[in-house]
Order: sequence, then C-alpha cells, then structure tokens
Amino acid sequence: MIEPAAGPRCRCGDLALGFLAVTVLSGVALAPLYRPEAALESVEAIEAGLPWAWLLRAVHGFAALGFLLATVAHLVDAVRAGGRERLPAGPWWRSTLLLPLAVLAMLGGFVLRGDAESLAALAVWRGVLETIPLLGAPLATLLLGPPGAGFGAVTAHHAGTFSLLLWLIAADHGRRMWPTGRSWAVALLSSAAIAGVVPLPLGPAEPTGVGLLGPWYLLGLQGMLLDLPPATAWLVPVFLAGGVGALAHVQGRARTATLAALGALLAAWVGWTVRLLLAGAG
Amino acid sequence: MTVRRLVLPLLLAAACAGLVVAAVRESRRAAEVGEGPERAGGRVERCLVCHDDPDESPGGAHAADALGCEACHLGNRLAYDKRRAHAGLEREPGALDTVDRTCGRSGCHVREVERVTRSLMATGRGLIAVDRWVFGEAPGPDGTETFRELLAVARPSPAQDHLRRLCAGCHLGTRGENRDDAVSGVGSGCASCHAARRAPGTAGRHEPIDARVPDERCRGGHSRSGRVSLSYAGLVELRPGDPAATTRLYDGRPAAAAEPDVHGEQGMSCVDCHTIPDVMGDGRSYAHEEAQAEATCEGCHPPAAAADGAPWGAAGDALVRDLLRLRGEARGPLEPARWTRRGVPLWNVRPAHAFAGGDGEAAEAPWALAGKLDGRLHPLRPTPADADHGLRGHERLACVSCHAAWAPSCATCHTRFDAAGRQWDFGRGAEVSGAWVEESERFGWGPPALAVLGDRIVPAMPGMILTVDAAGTGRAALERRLFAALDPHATRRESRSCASCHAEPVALGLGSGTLDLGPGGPRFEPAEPAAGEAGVAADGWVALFPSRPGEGTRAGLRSLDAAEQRRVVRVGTCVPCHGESSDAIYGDFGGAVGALFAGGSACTFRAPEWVRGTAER
Amino acid sequence: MATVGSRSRREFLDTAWRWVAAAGAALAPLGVLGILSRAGGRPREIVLDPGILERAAREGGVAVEGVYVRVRDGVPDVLSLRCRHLGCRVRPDPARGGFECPCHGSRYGLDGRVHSGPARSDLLRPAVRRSGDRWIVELGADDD
Repeated sequence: MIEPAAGPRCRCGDLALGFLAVTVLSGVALAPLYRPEAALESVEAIEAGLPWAWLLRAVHGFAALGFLLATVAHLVDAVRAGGRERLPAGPWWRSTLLLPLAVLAMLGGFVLRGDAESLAALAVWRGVLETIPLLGAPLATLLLGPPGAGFGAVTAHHAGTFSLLLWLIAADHGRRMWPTGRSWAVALLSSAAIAGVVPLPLGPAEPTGVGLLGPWYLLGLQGMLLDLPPATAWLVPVFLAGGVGALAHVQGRARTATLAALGALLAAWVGWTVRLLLAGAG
Repeated sequence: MTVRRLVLPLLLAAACAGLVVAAVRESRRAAEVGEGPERAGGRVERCLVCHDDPDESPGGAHAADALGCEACHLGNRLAYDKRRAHAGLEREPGALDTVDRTCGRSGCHVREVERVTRSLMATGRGLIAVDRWVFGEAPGPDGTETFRELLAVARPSPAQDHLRRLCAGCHLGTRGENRDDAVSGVGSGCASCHAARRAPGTAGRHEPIDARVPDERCRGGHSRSGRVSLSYAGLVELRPGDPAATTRLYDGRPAAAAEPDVHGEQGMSCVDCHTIPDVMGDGRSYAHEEAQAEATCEGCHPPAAAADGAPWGAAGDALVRDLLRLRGEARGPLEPARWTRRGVPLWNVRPAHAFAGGDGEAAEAPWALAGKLDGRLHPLRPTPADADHGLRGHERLACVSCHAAWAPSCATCHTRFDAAGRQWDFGRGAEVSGAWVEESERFGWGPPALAVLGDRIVPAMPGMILTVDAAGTGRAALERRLFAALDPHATRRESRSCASCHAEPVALGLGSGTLDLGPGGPRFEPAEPAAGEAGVAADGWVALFPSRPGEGTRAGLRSLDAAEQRRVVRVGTCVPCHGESSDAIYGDFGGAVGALFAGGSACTFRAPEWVRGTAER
Repeated sequence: MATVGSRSRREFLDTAWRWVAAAGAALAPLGVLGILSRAGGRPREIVLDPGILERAAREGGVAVEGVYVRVRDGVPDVLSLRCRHLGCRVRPDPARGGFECPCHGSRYGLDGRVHSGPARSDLLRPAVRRSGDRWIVELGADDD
C-alpha cells in the first residue's frame, strides 16, 4: 500500500542523477589535464594556464556539490514522505551508500588538489581509516595507496570506483540509466551559472600558518576530532547511514526514535562545525 | 505549475549571465597568463613567464634561467596568476629571518649562512655589550646578548632602546626598510654585501649577485664608529658646518681629505686582507670584533728571519677550499702558504713565482698578494730586521702603534633621549615616540694615543668621552671617559716619529695641550681642561701620571699608567738629539741615562733631575 | 542404486563446489587484504650532514623533511613531526615553544611529549645511525 505523500515532492532524485551526469562528464573532460605525479602543478595549470579549463573544473566542482545537495534533499523528502513504502528494503539499504560514496568521491577531489590543505586532509583520512579494527590498514592502502605513494590510488578511486558505484547505485535506485532531459538542463545550467562567477578554491603548496580545516561538508567530523576519539570520524557516518537504512524496518515510535537519534547526530555535526570554526578563529 | 515552467528560462538566463562573467574572467586570464619560458634549470618556474626580461635576472651563477625566481624569492612558482604566485613572496632574499629558506636552503649556501648568522655583523654582541655597560646596565663590556634577542624584547631598557633605534640600522639582521645609509640600497642579510648597488638610471634592474665584494659595500656599516672604511680611503668625516670640510662622503656627510692607507693607495680592497672568517665568521660566536678577525700584518709581512710559510697540506678552511675550486685554482699540498692567526690559509698570497706572469714588480719580493677583485699583484716585503724593528723596549708594540699615521676622533659625544621626537624602532618595525639624539662638538683626526690591551701596546682613540641622559631631563645621568682601541686603517710605510710618542701629550693619553719636559719635571697643560677633572684635557683620557689608568671599551684595555708614562717621557728628553733608532743610547737606555748622571758620558746635555728616575731600560 | 548413487554423487559434487566457491570467496579478499597490509610505504631515510647538525646545535633545533633535529652531546636527537593523532605534519611553534598540529591543534613540548589536544601519545623518535660524519634517520611508516 502506498501512502499519500506527506508534503510537496520535489524531483530531487532525478535532479541528483542530472548533477551526477554533469559531474562525470566534466570529470572525463578534466582527466587528461590532471597528472597525479604533479598534482598541484597540473591543477594550477587547469586553474589558470589553459583556456577555459578553470570553468570546466568549476562546473565539475559545483555539479558535484549539486549532486550532494540534491541527494540530501531527496533523502529528506523521502523520509518526510515515509520513504520506506516507495522502496523495498534491499534497494533502500543499497541507497544509503549514495551519500557516503558521494562524500568519499568529493573528498577525493579535494585531496587531488595537492596543496597543503589537501595533504593534511589525506593524512587525516588515512589516520581515520587506520582506526577501523582489523580492516583499517589494508582498507587505507586500498583506498589511498601506501603512505607517501602519491595520488595514484586516490585518482583511480575518485575517477573510477566511486563514480562507477555512484552511477550504478543511483541508476538502480531510480530505475533509470540517464536523467531526464529537464534534469540534465537544470543541472548543467545551474552548475555553469555558478561556475562562471564563483572561483573554486586552491591553496598554496606550503601551509601559511593558519589552521587547516578541510572541506566544508566535513567540518562537523573535523570538529568532533578535536574532542572525541579518531574512530568517531567513521563511526558517526556509519551510524548515520545505518540509521537511515534502519528506517526501512521501523515504524511508529521506533521510527520516531530513530529519526530523533539521526537528528541528534546531525545537530552534533552542526555544533562541532561551529566549535571548529570558533577554535580556528581563536 | 507556473513556477515550475519558469525554472528553465530563469536558469538559462542565469547560465548566460554566468557565461558572460566567465568570458570576462577568461579574457583576463588569457591576458595575464603571458608568454615566456616556464622552466628554469629543469623545473617548472612559472615566474619567468612574466619576469622574462633579462634585466630582471641577476645573471651569473644566480641567473634566472638557471635558478628561476622561487629559489631566492620564495612565493609559488607553479601559479599562473600574480596574486597566487606572489603569496609568501620574499622581497629581500638574504634577510636573516628567512635566510634558511632562501640563500641558506638545502643544497645552496647552508654553511655560509650558518657562519654569518653567528658572526658579529649579525649578532652585534660586542656592540650591545659595550653599549649596555656604558649605560650602566651591565657590570662589564662583555656579554652574550644578540640583536636577534634584543629586537624581540617587549620592554627594552634605555640601552636596548638606544641600540634598537640607532645601531640596529646597520646590523645585518634588520630589513631594508628604514635602514641607514648605503645599506638601504639593496637589501639586508647576505644581500647587504653580495648584491651590487644599483647604478644611477638602472632602477628596476636586478642587482648582480657576486662573491667579490668591493669596498663601497663595506662602507655602509664601516664608515661609522671607528670609520675604518673612510680612513682607508683617506677621508675624515667632519661635523656639518665645519670650515675644514673640503669634500662630501658618498651619502652627503661633510669630510676632509687625509693621507690614505698605504694599502688603499696601492689599490688593495678590504677583502684582500680580510678573509672569509674575518667577515662572515667561522661558525663560533665571538664577543668582540678583534676576537673574530684573524687577519694580521704579520700574515703578509712576517719578520725577515721567519721561515717560509707552512705548506698547504690538507689543512685549511672548508669554505676557502670550495672557493678555490669554484675559481678553478689549485694548490699543491707542498706549496708554502701564509696563514691567519687562527690557521686559515691566505689563498691570495703565494710565493711570487707561483703567479703566472708574476715576474714584474711582484718578483721584487719573494711573496706576492693577488687582488681578489682585480687580480693585480702586490709584492709583499717582509718586516725588515733593522734597528727600527729591533728597538729595545718596543717588543710589545703592535705594528699599527707606529705605522698608523692618524685616526679619526670624536672626542665628545652627548647622548640624550628626546621625548618629543619620533624615531624608527627596528625591534617593533615601526616609528615610535621619542628619539635618541647624539651630538658631538668635535670631529677631527690626528695621531692616536697609545694604550695597553692585554700584553700589547695598541693605538686608541677617544671613543666614548660621553654623557648619557637617558631620561631626557637635560642633566647627564652618566659621564664616561672611555678610549677605544682600534686599527685605524691609516697605515703608512713610514712610522710615527720617536717624538710623536715620547714627547707629545696625545700619545700618552693626555689629549691636546702642552707637555713640558723641562727641569721643573714633566708638566701637562691641557689646551681645554675637562670640566671637573683636574689636569685632564677635554679630549684626553687621563691626567699626567694618573693614580690609576683610564678605562677602555674592553675589559683588558687601559691607558698607560703613571710608571709607563714616566718611562716614555724620559726618552722624550733625549729624542731631540738622539732621533735615530740606531742611536747607541737605545741599546741600553737605562745604562746611558745612568752614565749621563754619573758624568761618564760624552753627552753635554744637562738632563733635568727627574729623568734620573729609577734606572731601567 | 546407480541413480541414487549418481544423484547423491551429484549432490555431493554440488555441495563440494559450493564449499570450494565459498572458501575461495572468503580467501580471495583475505589474500588481497594480506597483500595490501604488506604494501606499506617504503621506509624513508634522511641524511643529516654536519651542516644541519651544526645549525641544529646553534638554533636549538631545525625541521628537516618531516623530522625535527636537535643535538645532544654531539649526537642528533630526532623527533618525527608526524602528529600522533591522525598523521598531519606538526610544525615548530617558536612563539609558544614546542610543536603544534595545524589540523586539530594538538600541542607537544620541545621534548615531543604531548601537552594538549586530541593526540594521546608523544611524538616518535625514529632510529638514527652514524655513517662517517653524517647521520642517517630511518623513518618507518609510523614516523613518516
């Protein structure tokens, strides 16, 4: 039985697929310009040395951001609508991987800049993975390559593994391979509009003396790392994804409790973002 | 539904607007990206795309097409746009606070930077210690405080404040902004000496960087205080308005001409005598310049009887060996060498026959010195074993005690703090309220006094006959009468006359006045008596036969004491007739005087009774 | 009998194949994990020449390629600059003394002891060996 929607439905899901398509295509166009062995140098060239390449990079970055936001919006929408009824438990669980994968792919892109902040982000990423019991060290090597080995593995997963999985899961989830023409258009036009005006950041090769923050969408985790054990940085995402996945099985008060727990985690995330920014300012 | 229908047209409009902005940004990017070489010495060096003008390269070993810009100037060599490229730029490579990332970076001049940062030109240890002692802030003129520490002090003492505002301007570690005189032309730290001054009309051109430092780069600092750069060139700084001024210094200060140093006259430059450890240190931190400097007169002019220099062997300073290698020169291990007093070989001094083409004037002497800047050969004659140099009683005299023809003097100095003024504080890097003012009534030059430094007799000048009014009350809180020992760098081949030391008041440390060696006993009449000090001249160190000797600017420095003065002036009575060092009476002066008073001498001179004194030398 | 026998044999084979496949499926990732866990970064060596040691002695300490070198009694005393929290490179903080991590603000004393911040343990001291007038710092994966 399909219950009526609890509120107005956006078409964020299809829009997310549109953003993913724009991200992947712009990424494919950027790939030949990027050299993992001379990461910062090639990003500098993309940013200012080659005609229009900066716009391509900005479209890539903002489309990825669009994918993240549209996915979050779609999730919120689905949860409000009581999403369990729309998807069987299997695809629902698989779909909970979309957000973590999107964040990993975007973190990969952040690291591939090769500037001082990226190198610190890579170190923290590895450090966090290594706190996973038993699997940590090999998993870190699998995702990031051996320590000191450069950006080869991160490049491969950013451009290959993560993108492929994202598209597969999104297609499986939405039961369609390609976005609608309208989603294509909206994703492309909005990415281009922002990319033309707002420059994507790129830091210096050496730290300049201020604290290093990392990507904005992970500031909450970064903040938690100030006060909580490093394992928090993978436990919190696991709990978030698990909580969302559990929504497929719970009803009534249990569902409310699960939602409350998720809300508390998100509030903590926001709180620690503020804490980190204040610490950085201090 | 209406809103939904509007989304696409609105987004299309936004994208068009975004693309218009992007087109503007792209055209700006394309205009800024420039065309030019992007690599230097095999690595990416985007700086050269904009800075490709040959005038912007220092040329030589540091040429931009070999090293690029980032190696010295830091910044971001990978960046394409100016803002990012210039982030973290070092405008003054060589400045000591960043020198370990510029000149001293790994693979470049690590050892040199290590030495220089510990050398006196960077630490200023002697300068600081003496100043703090003179201000009454330290028990003696030795200390370990360096400019680096001094400039970081949050609440400087009066002496520290004085040093920070005045003396720090020549110290190697302060940056070019607001630095004094000639130093400000180029930069600080390494560049103070190794970057050439800009010739007029060449603004915007990169200064050449070189190892060969001409004299004008030394005078930024060394035309002050002892003013050896000026004396060496035969110049004396005078006070503004002094009618004796006949010329002006390079920076406009009035000056008069005097006899130049014989080495300067022969076209030798500062670095011909002063070795790498002399100027850049040897890695140790010394308390005073005479401890760091190691060039001696005897290095080039040893006594004639001395054996030839010890051979090169494997010994020698590592930097000297590298320097020779870079210059493409070699020394056999058995080739005789001349050495500084600490055992660094003088690589530009060799047996005359070792120089190619050294058969001209240089061959007149067994050894020759090659000018480090011009390669000119200068014959080196040994110190002769004659009567002048074997004169009994003169064994303790430094060469310059006799061969320094004159020295500059600044006989009075009033240092006061003017609370109403404003002055640059190198510690804070800003102009702050109040100003230290130094005023002198007399700048001049003349023969130096003789002083005792340890076990040597050396020339000394009135370095600090000064008053210090640190509170700015108008009344001097401190009065000092200190002489400073120095090699005036006004060396002449002909020495001072015997009378200049034995019968003139200046040599005895008495200052200007009349020294009467008549029958009434030695008497001194100051030309201008010092206020409140009986028998002391305004420009003098001590009175005649003082109860205790005068103080100097070093722990072991003093004026001649009464007994020493007495011994000197006794000879003075005989000098008018016995003016030659070869005179027989100087073989045993005490005996000659004894014989004179005993009537056993052919001399008809009726010596004053006080000359009888105690029979000694 | 034969039918029964062949059926049971087929069942047995099927079961066996399933077991083999299951064992393979279990062992393959273990093998990959085994390879990966051995694929640590190559140990790195840093050469400390006399110039670096002299400077370290003079300035109290100097940061070189991810380690901080000081000299005690003529022997280099080397600290790894890898933060013990999550591996960012800590940097000397001349103003406050000691080292600070730019990522999460861990602070260490000049002796490498952790003073504050999320890090729990002290900075590591990599092994140092002598080679002529030089010293070689041997950095393991944890130090680098």
